[in-house]
Amino acid sequence: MDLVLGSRNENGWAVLEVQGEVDLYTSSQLRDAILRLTEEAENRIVVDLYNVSFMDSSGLGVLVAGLKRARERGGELALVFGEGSVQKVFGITGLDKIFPTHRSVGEATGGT
Amino acid sequence: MAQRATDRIDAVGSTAALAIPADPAYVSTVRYFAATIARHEGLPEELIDDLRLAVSEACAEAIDAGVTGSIRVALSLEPEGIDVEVTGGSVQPEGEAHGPEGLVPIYRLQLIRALFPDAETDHGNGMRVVRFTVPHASSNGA
Repeated sequence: MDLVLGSRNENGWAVLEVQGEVDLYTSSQLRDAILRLTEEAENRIVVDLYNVSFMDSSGLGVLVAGLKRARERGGELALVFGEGSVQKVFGITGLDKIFPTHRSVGEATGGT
Repeated sequence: MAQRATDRIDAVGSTAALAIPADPAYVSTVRYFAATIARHEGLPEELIDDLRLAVSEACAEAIDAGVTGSIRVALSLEPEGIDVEVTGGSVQPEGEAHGPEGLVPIYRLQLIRALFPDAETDHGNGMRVVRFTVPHASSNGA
């Protein structure tokens, strides 16, 4: 099943909205979308995972690579997710301490 | 009695098994299969989420390692819970694995062990096996 991906600009941030399940099969779609944003010089990126119903390590790897790429360019990659399975994956691996994480896109972009 | 083929859902006694091609496109099928069995057994949704993640990571780990052919996922219904075994055979010769670089392979096993502390891995004889038990009660600290 493919991911549904959409991007928009909000308060100076590129917001990448993700819906679906991020796993070994679909994570390349997420990787490509993040790469596209950084190639377009969008180095302040919010990845909105609020509507992601499942994510495994494949997704973590893509996001860590995206964070590294954004920071190398003087930018940032922040995440939005709710309580549940995605939050749990970040908690177990300790990656919730590495990424800026937020409960809403507005909070991440400083809009609300 | 000859053992039946396991290339589709096969409930024999107290075990349900599914074999998928070692292809990332099929891993989601394993998640749905495992969740369906667990839901039928009355496991709470949080534990079902943990099971989905663990079987997905186990299959992905085998594919990362270069397993070819099929991956077999077996769920045995036991009094204390569901015994899960994910088996991938025919690992490609060293150097032909196509898994991701970096920390992802470490995260995969870290996640499985964090979710199910009794998890065991056996990577001998060209096979990759991951085993763990999903308790009926949420006693794994999740």
